[in-house]
Amino acid sequence: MQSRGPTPSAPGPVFSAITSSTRHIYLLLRCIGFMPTANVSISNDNIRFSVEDSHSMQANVCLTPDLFSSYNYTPSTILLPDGDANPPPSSAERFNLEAEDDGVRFQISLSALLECLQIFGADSNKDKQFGGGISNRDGMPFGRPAATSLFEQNTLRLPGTCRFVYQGPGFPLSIILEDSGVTTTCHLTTFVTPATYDLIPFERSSMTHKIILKAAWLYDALSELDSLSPETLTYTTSPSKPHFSLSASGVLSQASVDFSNNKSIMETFQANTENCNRYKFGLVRKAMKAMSVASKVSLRGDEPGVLSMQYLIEVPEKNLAPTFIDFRFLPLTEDDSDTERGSGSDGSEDANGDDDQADEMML
Amino acid sequence: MATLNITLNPVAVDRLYEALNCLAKFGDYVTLEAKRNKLNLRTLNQTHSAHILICLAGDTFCDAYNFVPDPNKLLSSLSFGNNGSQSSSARPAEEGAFTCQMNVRALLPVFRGRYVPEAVNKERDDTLVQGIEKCEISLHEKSDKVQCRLVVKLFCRHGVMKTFRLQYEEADIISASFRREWAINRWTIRAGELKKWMEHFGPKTEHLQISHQERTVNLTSYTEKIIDGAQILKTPLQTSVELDLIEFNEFQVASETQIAVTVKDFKSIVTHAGTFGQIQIQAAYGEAGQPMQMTYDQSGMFCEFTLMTRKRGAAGPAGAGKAEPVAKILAHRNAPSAPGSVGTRTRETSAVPIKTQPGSAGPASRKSSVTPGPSVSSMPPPPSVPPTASRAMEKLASVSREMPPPPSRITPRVGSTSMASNSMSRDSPSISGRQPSSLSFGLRGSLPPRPSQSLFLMDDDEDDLFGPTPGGAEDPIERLLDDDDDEDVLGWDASLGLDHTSSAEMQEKSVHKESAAPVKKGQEDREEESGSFVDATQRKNVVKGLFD
Repeated sequence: MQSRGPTPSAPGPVFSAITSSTRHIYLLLRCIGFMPTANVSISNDNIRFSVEDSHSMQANVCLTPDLFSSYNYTPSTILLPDGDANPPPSSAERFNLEAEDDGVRFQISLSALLECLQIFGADSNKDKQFGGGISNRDGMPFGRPAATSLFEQNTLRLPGTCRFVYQGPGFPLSIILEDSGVTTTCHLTTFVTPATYDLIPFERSSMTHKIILKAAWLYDALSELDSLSPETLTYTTSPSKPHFSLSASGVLSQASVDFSNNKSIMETFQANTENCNRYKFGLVRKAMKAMSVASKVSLRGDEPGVLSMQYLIEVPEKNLAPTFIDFRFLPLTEDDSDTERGSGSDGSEDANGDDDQADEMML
Repeated sequence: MATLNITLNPVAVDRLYEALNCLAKFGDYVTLEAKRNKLNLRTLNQTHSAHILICLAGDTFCDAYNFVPDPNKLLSSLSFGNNGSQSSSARPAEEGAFTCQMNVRALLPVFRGRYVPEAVNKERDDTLVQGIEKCEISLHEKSDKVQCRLVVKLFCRHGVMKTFRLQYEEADIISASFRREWAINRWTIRAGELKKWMEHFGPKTEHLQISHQERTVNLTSYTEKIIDGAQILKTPLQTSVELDLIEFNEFQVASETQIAVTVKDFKSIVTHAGTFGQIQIQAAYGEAGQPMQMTYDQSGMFCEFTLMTRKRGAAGPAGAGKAEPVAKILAHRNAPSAPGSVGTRTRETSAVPIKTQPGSAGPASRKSSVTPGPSVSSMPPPPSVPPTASRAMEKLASVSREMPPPPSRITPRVGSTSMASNSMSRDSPSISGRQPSSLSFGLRGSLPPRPSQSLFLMDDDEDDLFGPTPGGAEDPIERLLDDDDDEDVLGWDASLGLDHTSSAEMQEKSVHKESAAPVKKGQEDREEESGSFVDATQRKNVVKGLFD
């Protein structure tokens, strides 16, 4: 079945890709499934799905060609819509095309796409996670999904194929599922990407900190804070103790989780200056699904306070290169809520004092 | 400023969580009371029919416990005490106890899931996020009173620390008054044994009756039928479980004693006790209408539940002749003994659940409903209620609206003047506000009428008036629980008939109260209609208490 994949079945599709399992794609896309619509951009390197909420957070998933058994992007057919199907470009050509074109862009309904993928057996009931390092995290009370079982239905199933086809602007994104003689075709209407859509800028040059830690710890910390149902998340990094602190306050209590620079948790910790920003907790909470399946997370902040979270998600099934899901958050500004700001700073002072005590005790 | 520092190990934190979880089933708020050597957690439920005291011993439950009372408070209370009459029993050390009240929902997530058993393999340990190494609770009380917080620090693996700063509010301590000398009935049973049978009492039943025959104890959960016009608001439902006396380690209950408590409360208690593994639940109670106390303790945690009891309502299927069918069933069952299944001791299990058909009063239907096997089922009422029963229903429904006078309890020595202020119905003990402690000590014996709000003030020390407590105060739990002298005490109306208030007056009040109170309170008095119970049993009690 792989052999017939690359040959374009429709005349001159801009993009076509084939995979034998949609489950990993489904699980990746589900991490950003908190918004109904997603912007898709297809290039030679990847197909990228981005969602945005409240113009203050963005999430991107890049599906690399590795995730598909075949991946074809031929932007020239846009220019030559009536022309014959070009043979797949060589790798050199691909590189050049990439250089000159950023790829096609359109918008689709992400919820509909997820539903389509579910048809193919990427069942949401089997809320399975992947990611090697975290398969042992059962018994977690905060709803981290249980470990993947070896003999799940999906792996025992006869592999079908799933084809993604996009013929160009104005055409729908077609998902063709073939499973033991049954073919299901889903056409997802594509929309024109709004002109305003842009990536939240992250200035690498003015990076204030960079932390790489196990995603499970971040998940645990945020679940802890989530139980207070807080409005804002206070995010503090500093070169001294506590190196990395997340705190939030709810109606009844205030909580903070402090991480020290411990090698068993943090792979990397770089912070030159003390840095404190506040983010809307409701938005950060949306990254928790990605957090729960990721094995590592890289947290970076820049001078204006933009927080970038990159989740590394391992796909163990195929021994593929890990996939990244990228989240970016704009900070709350000082005047968003002055009163909270006041109490928040009080709290952090307290936290420092407490930690000093704690250090003494721990010594 | 008071100082409070507690260190707990993960197992204790887990225990604490279970305790809080249990408290949360009764009320939204938990009152913390820190004393020199212990921390008391208390909850009073919304209808004031249940009071829970969980006491954490500073030395055995906590890894470290340090409480230093607020010196200012201590001073003032001392001088206040000296101004009053001589009271040797005033313990200044306890005067400065720190008390506060918190929402239990804020506490629950703090302690949830903190104990993770030792990791089996190394790899798991590395990836394990949950679990703590140590928990420290400290009080941050500042003089400016702006940032007063109870701080809980959880020291997790790999140097991660979680800090919770919990708000609290001032609170008065309310203790349940429970007269041990009245609680002539007592039994002790393993929690696991009792828990096993609790599952059979469905969530829809409301009350649990505890009665006993010669060799068996009968636990019956039931719901009384409530009819409003043509609508059936509550359908009767009844499940019985019988336990042989062998199951009990101790069983001393006066014959004919039947009490009923709320199933939900009872279940919550048993569930919590069940988390301790092999633990003995002790229950002590007097007659119906007096509070019942259930206690158990393990490794530094002392739990004391005071529940208001009621007589079995006379309504419908739960009517007068209830005891008889049970007896018949028993006779039936005793011939073929049930297969033994219990525990290590080789004895025949005697706990055989019996299903009684609700809603029907005829003996034939009762007999037919007997299931000798261990299966238990609660059956909905038959579609057509026998005419006699339904008539009784209607009658009772009407009765419940005009409630007979609730027997207002008076502490015998308090005097009747305060009676007039009592507007509480029997189920709901009134809570008195905080009182200057010297008053309660100073007035011992002289007994002028107290300010009205202290109607139910009953210091435990009063027990002395009635001779030694039958329970034996040498018990460590008693010692720990007994020193609530200075606290306001919550009690129930357990004495009837000493009031000068005319019954008509009381009736008026109770009817007024009834409109707001939950329906179940009204039910309590239905039994008086049935004539199957001796009237004014509580009067007997008072007599006992006063002149025994």
